[in-house]
Amino acid sequence: MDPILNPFSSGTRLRDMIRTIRACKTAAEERAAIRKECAAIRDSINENDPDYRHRNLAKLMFIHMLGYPTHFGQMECLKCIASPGFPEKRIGYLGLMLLLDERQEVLMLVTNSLKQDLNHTNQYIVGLALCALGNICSAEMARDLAPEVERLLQFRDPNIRKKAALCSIRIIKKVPDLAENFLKPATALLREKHHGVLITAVQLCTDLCKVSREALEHIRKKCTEDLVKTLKDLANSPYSPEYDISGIADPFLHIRLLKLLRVLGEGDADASDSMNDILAQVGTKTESNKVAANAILYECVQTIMSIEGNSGLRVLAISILGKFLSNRDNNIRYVALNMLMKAVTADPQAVLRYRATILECVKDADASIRKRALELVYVLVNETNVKPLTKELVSYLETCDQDFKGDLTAKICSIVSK
Amino acid sequence: MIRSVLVMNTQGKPRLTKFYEFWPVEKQQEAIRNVFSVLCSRAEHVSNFVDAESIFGPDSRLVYKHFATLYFVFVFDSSENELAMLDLIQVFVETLDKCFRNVCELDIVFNYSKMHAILDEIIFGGQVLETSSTEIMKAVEEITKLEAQSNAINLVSKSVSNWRSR
Repeated sequence: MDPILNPFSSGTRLRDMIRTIRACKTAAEERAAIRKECAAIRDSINENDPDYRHRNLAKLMFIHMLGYPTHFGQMECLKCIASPGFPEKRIGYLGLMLLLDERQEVLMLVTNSLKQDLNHTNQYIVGLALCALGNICSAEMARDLAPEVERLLQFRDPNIRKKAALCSIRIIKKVPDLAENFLKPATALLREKHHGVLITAVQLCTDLCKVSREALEHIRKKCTEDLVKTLKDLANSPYSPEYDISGIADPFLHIRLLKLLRVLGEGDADASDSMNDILAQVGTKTESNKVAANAILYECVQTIMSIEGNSGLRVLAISILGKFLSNRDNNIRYVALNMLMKAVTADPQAVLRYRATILECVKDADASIRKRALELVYVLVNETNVKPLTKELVSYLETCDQDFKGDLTAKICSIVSK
Repeated sequence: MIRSVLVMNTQGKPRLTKFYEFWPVEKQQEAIRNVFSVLCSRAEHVSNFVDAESIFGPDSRLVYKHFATLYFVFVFDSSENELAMLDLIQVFVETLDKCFRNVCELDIVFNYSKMHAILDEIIFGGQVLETSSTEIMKAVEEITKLEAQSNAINLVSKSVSNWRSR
């Protein structure tokens, strides 16, 4: 039959297939249409015509998204990856990331292609290979390909350097022993000026600290000062529209730096000491009427609460959370409750000062906030306040909406038995 | 780490799904259905955060944004800053808006391969790769250019071979 007349031959374009599926009125109709299309794709795969591979895979990805089985396309991904053209390679790697199940034999087969593409002269093909590796890398692949990725950390184009940095994270998570190989190039990247590379480099160092004690000691000793300076420069930097979100200088970089400082400061008084000033500056100078600014403040509070004690900073942190609690934005109240939950073990008295506000949050119209607030109240209960708190909760039980009654009753019961 | 990015319409149809940890297809579909049933029952003007542990297991959080007929959903663990994730959805949507000039659901349905190209320049293996939509656009345009060039060559060679085989 002429492919133009038969809408379900492998000759149908992706667009037409999507239109046909969208036109289905019932689930049964959709299933039938997809079954027919899959049969056509299988036939086309069996005919082994390279011209249709790209199209078949593109269709299979759409079918996969709708929840239908597509495992029969996995080997086609490998064939596409092995072909020389950019579009074929791209769809092949995309398919590999989406359609792959944990079948190790397919992964083993792809390692060789990945190795070649990581050394390709076209940097966009190197980018595709890095992206696939960063998503599906197994422990064996990590061992085989770590030298390639390590080398790419020094590639001339920043887009490749940042992808290589994130790919390294996947590698050291799979094989922590490889951490020491990445330590030197990772810390070298911390001197980058390119924001995108710097964000990924800071993230890589954070993950290195998590998997290796030696890496943590090394970065703490050699890099803490520089990181504090980088954060200082960023906090004082003038407006640069490219990375700013609602007027706040690169919030993501702020957050990544604060997080790495937290890891370095935890359990080390000297390192904690060296970051006190900048934390106080970020905590007091950040204007807090935008989500981006509050995201930075929130991260700053988390760092202050985790590093070695400085009572002045702790007071600042709790007062920031207090302000968050009375913010009109639901999202800000929600994260404040989350954070107070963590702060409560360190300093229950400071959190208890906001008891009334927290009880108000139990009555919030937003189910997510109610739930968090109730959990927090539960943790806050002690011998002296158990009576008034329980009384408040019981009286609210009479007016709260039906869905919440179960949760609330359960919590009251466990408070009573506590 | 970001665990998953989901885009679905207000009828619950998935429009883009990406899982950064291995999840079997059936589980993915179940998660999408569960997320949708939570989202569609939420009132307007409430927070953008939803408890996700019942759907995605321990240590998972979910933030979403609702635009016209679409929900954009990010699922992540406690190592990520919730408010920053909310901003990252904004970066994603702003970039889509620039790429498609006022993105709508149909753009996403018919261009999901490009959607993946854009997403892969923002999130890489569950980590934040780039947050400047100018940089993201530049990278995506290079990829689009490379695809178009090679396609042109393909079309020529294919039509010549078809012509010969007639």
